[in-house]
Amino acid sequence: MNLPPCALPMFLPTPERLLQLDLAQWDMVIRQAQRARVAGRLAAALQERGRLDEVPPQPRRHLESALTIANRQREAVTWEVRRLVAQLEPLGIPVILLKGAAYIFEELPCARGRLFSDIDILVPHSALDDVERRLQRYGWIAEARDAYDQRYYRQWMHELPPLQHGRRGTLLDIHHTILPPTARLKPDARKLLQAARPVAGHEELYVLAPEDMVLHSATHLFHDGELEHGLRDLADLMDLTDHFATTHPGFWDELPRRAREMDLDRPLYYAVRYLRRVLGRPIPAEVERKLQDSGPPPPLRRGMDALFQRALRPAHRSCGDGFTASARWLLYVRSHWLRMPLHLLLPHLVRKAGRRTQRT
Amino acid sequence: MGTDACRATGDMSYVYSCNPCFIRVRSWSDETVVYDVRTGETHLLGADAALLITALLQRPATVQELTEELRTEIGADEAAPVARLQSILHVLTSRELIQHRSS
Amino acid sequence: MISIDVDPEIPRSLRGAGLFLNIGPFTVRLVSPMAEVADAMALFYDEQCRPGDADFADFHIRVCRPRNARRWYRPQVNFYVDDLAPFKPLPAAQAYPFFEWGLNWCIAQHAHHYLMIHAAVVETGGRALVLPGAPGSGKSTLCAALVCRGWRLLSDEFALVSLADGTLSALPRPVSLKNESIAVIRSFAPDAVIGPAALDTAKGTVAHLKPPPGTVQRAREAARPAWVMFPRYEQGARTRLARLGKGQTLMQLVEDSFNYNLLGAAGFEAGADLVDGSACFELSYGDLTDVVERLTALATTEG
Repeated sequence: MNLPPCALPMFLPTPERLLQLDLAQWDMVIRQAQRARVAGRLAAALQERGRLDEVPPQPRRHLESALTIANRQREAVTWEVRRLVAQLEPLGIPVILLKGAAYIFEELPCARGRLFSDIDILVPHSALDDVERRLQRYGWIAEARDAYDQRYYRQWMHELPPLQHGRRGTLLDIHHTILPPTARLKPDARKLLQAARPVAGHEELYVLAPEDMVLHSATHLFHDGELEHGLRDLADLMDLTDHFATTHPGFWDELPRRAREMDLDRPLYYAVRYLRRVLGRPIPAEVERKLQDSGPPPPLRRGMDALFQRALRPAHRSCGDGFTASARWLLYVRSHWLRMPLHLLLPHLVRKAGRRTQRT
Repeated sequence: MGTDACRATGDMSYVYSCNPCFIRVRSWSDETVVYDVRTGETHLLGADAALLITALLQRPATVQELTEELRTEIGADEAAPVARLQSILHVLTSRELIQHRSS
Repeated sequence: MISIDVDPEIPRSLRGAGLFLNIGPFTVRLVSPMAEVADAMALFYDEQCRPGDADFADFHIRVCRPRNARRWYRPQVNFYVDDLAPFKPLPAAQAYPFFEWGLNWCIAQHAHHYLMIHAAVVETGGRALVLPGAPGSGKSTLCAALVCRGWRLLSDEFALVSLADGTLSALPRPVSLKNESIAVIRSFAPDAVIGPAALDTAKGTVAHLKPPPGTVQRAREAARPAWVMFPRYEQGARTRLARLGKGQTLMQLVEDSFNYNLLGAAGFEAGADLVDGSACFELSYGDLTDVVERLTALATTEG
């Protein structure tokens, strides 16, 4: 099989094609997959189809290794969430799981082989202080390094800084909405809460409605900046839309409608566009048509394509060209531009750049 | 559940249980090591604690029932076998190896 | 100072497409323009270089000087795995030890089909002795001494316990010696091949002992664990084996493991099986000759 240098994206929708690789090709694909953090996902997909044993032993060990870590993390996240729910129960508020934790508890396909870096939950804005206080009693500490970070999160972004458990080291992000109030897009958090559904078998736990889950994932990917795992997030979107299209009749009709209602049609436009262009995933033509006007103005469209199509590739040397690094930087800047007013943005970026050089 | 409730040294009405789905046990002479799949924690237990966990893995029980069942192993030399059992149950609960509910 | 004839193929590969090394179950592709690294490869890994190209490498490693001023001024060396630098640069004189430390990191990050314990492992008669290594325990020195007296080296850093069948896999690599141990082993085994010392590293002065002939050839032979001994060197102490409980030993091995917390129940079972099949001790010693004789005698009588 002839492969382009950046071959990984083609295997995400159809993992069985991996079995046609020769060893030299596996060598490259494994490294791309590790960098993109999808090795566990590919392993899980092959295992599910009963074909993991057909992978040659050397690359197979890398896949199995990634799957081992993913499975262990899944156990750890499950327990951590159950514990959190028990600890917050006296507050009597709904706790909505977001992203990876939600995928686990809903047993969605994108939970399989997934690597987790932190736990994200959504609570009502009015409960934030109570939640933070209560969790501090159980050993959760705000991760923000200094006074600047604290101000960034609390005052400017109106968010809690990420919490970290003092002993276990788990990271916990507590949200009250999916974009900060300073952002240019204004999704209404109350609507998210209203539409949230309980997790089967766990009355205290909720997840977002299917359309909202997809919109949240798209918003996070296309407006939130850290595109290092962009390909992984795009693959999640692929799994989510595939799954809900099967389990929820009318999903594809409801999705663009809800996107407009929540002021999130721009991220959905990008999601649909790049699912098709990067992963080769066809979306119902009707849906693309409805979102036609939700994209950036045509002159900007090509520019955004140039940025996103680079940034959505694995962050591996084999997948980049001379413009990839600048593309990532520009998208990073853009994500902050979308989140905070200009007079805060510039000093913030300068400070972040300063941090970066200190670290290297 | 939670550390607040554990402060009580084992209310006599509690029913204790240990979930065999999540607990792995290996024993040698008088040492037992237990692995909790949920938390990923590994615990070294003495002989008495091991007996308690083994009993609870079979079926849930109250302090009274456990005292009766383990009278010969734990209770024989003890002036206050119930108190001894309660203190072990307290430790096991605080390590989240066993759970309790009111009967 | 050892002078060797460096096969010109080695520096040529290192500067080009890379030198492929078979290190136990792993294939490493190493790229490096540095002469120190070429010399070390020629000295230590001559039997493990694969001729030509390998198709698949588990780790793609590059050891090279930085592009900035530190290339010349107080020169440094960088370690990259697949173009990522997990560590800060080190002084250029430490280029070869950097390769070994970096490779340890790569293995610890990826080899989760094993339960990996920080330990030296040696073998005789098909039975393995695991020496978990607290710093200052002298595990590497003891490992080097045993290996110079007929025990086979499996590894001086990693006990690789197979999750599938509980055997220990071999990882033939030079044994790292620190500070006084270097002189000790030189006098203990005058014929041993020890490479040049790197001074002022984070661990002091570091040199490496090449595994004896035959070690690499037997790399595919796994071994069944038979003993776990926690070594404790104390000057002037008599050789003493104090029996340890298996539960206690398991708890300590968990502490000494690189990846126990990632393996879930499988890691627990593998660790429990390891202590189950092994006699467990604390080993105190003050005289290298004596402790090696004692252990060899123990292995012979029990075998």
